[in-house]
Amino acid sequence: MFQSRSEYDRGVNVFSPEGRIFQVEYAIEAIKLGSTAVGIQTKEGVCLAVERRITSPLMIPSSIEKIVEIDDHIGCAMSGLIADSRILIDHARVEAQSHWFTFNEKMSIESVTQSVSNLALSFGEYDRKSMSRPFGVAILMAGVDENGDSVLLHMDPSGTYLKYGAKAIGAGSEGAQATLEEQYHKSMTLDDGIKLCLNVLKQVMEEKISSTNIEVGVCRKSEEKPGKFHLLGKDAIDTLLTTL
Amino acid sequence: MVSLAVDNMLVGKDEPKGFLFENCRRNAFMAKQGVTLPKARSTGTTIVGVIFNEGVVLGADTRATGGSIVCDLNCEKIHYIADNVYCCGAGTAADTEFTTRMVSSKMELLKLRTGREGRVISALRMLKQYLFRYQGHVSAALVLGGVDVTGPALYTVYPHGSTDKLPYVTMGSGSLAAMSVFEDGYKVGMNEEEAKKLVRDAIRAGIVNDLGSGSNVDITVIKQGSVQQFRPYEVICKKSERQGDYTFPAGTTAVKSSHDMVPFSALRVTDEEVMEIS
Amino acid sequence: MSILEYNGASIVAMKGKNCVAIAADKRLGIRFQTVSCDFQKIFPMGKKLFIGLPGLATDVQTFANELKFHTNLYNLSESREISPKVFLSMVSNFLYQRRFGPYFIEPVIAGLDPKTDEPFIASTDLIGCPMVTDDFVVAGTCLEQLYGMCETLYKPDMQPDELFECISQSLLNAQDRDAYSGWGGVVYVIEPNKITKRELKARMD
Repeated sequence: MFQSRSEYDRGVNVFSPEGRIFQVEYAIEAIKLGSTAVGIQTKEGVCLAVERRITSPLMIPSSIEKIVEIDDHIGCAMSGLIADSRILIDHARVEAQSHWFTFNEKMSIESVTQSVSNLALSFGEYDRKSMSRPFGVAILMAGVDENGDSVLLHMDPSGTYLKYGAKAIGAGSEGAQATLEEQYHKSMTLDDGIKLCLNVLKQVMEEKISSTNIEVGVCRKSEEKPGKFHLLGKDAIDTLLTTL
Repeated sequence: MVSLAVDNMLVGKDEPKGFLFENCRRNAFMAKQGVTLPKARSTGTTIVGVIFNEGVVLGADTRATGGSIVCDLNCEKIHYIADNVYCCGAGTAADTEFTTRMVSSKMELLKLRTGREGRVISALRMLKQYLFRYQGHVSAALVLGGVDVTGPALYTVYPHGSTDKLPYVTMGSGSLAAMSVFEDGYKVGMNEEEAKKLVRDAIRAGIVNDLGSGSNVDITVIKQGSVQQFRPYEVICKKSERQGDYTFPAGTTAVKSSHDMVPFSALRVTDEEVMEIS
Repeated sequence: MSILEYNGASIVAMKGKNCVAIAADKRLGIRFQTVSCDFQKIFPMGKKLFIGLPGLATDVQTFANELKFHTNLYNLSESREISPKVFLSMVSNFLYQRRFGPYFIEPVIAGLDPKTDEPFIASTDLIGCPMVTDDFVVAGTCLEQLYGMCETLYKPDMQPDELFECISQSLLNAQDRDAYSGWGGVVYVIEPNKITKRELKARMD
């Protein structure tokens, strides 16, 4: 009687008798349609890389932004419904500034993710501001904290977030994750981490990897804590690609 | 004003943001009973700014006063707004501190949203609109300076929200003393050293002639792509050295009871590590 | 009469070498009538972090509770202990939120950084303007006397024992010239591995 999903997947705030919320699971499925994003954490810092899917030669590739800055020391890569992520990103930026305003310290990566996850699971509340459905986006939050720790966190549409050494999301995530599990080790240098990110992307991308169809963001631990997050320019990516 | 993140988490998103007024009625009642309400700490202050051929020099003294008492001999009055914009504050110390801090937050958000370095005029707009809304009750008198794509820019902002755009400006209780120096010494197209020297002379005039200003000269130089801070640039009045030594031998003070406490552990934080895969 | 003089209080904090001290008187009065000589004005806010709150007694207690509530919340949500620097920001933010209807208190903060044991002292005015200094901070009804005492007795890099004598003598001699504060004193000396609380013998008039 309860075998059919259609009985219980209409509402976001109704459990199925097996204890599942189908809309959340569907949202997680939506991520698997998104472009691949990879993140790697090393002792020296963190890096993020995503593929840009260029569906038409008339499209201007640089207008696709899937890695964004949250604060000086935090970057965020995303996969899934990118429009949904804008709400989360804006929230994260405001929270990071608010924390700095109140406590006079840079917000930790985990706290930013926590506050994003609070928003991500506030769907279905009778509140003017909240979404009527789960956010169809997964994010990789990466950066270097004020105390010098480099952190990579992954959050999915259910609002669950976990720390990772290396993580891939999006369409090619299964293959990518398998490669990461083979090749990642926690004592690797950041430069090796960046190379691994690109290698993994290269494997799973349908098109030939180039500096126009990927984005790379890096946050390197430095003397001046916390680290500074920045996106790599086209030239820097080109040089990296020649070393692969 | 940006509200507290923790507050929102705890009491829900509908919690009002900004200032809280719940004590006002009580405080007004107490005032009616005949007690005087205390004054907030203020920065009497001399703050100045001047444009030179490559950018802007901002200067400030470092005295903070509470009534006639000098509370802080070395307070920082040149506030960070963005990497290319700084702001000197005079007036109620807390107001200048928080107003500049709030604008700094908003400038960072603007930078993230637009992907471009913020302009000085954006900060000016935020400041004047905010201050006008509070009709002078937020008593911050500011000198805002910076360098952006349009070149160097220098403004003053009055507590009621009016603003001026000038090549050389002064603010605070020592503004007259400082302006007299500027009127005498300002030249169009000065180099950096000349500008720094002029600002130093102006602040010195404030420190020496105005009781609300004192101690040191702080200077911040903003040029295209670089900021240099001198804190202090020069110590005008040094704290006098004490001649005698008044060390009390151990056991001078009569103690009724004494006990040692080991700092108790409020929270145990265990180390967390990412597991190695493969 | 100023509202800060209604109950009376004086508090001082000083920085020594790898240690800090904070001291307060113990009187609670209603104008010239003394009500209690064991009133708490210094509150622990972390392992090695204290705040002294001189001012209107009702606000002292309300504000201390509010602060404890929010530091606990911070410690839990950030999974680490609040540092004195961050705590100062939090205090000044709470006070500034009430810019137009303030609590009548002038907080004094003293503590060691939970990670580095770096000494830290600071104070704010009643609407939360932060002030961090390298030597000493004072607040309360005998502020002027305390300034005089501290300017005379204080010297940099004192050891914990010296620091105790210095801060105690400053407090006792200052409060003897203030009708509103006195009736005992309490001193906390905070070192990296221990905190010593001492009750001082003082004039009871």
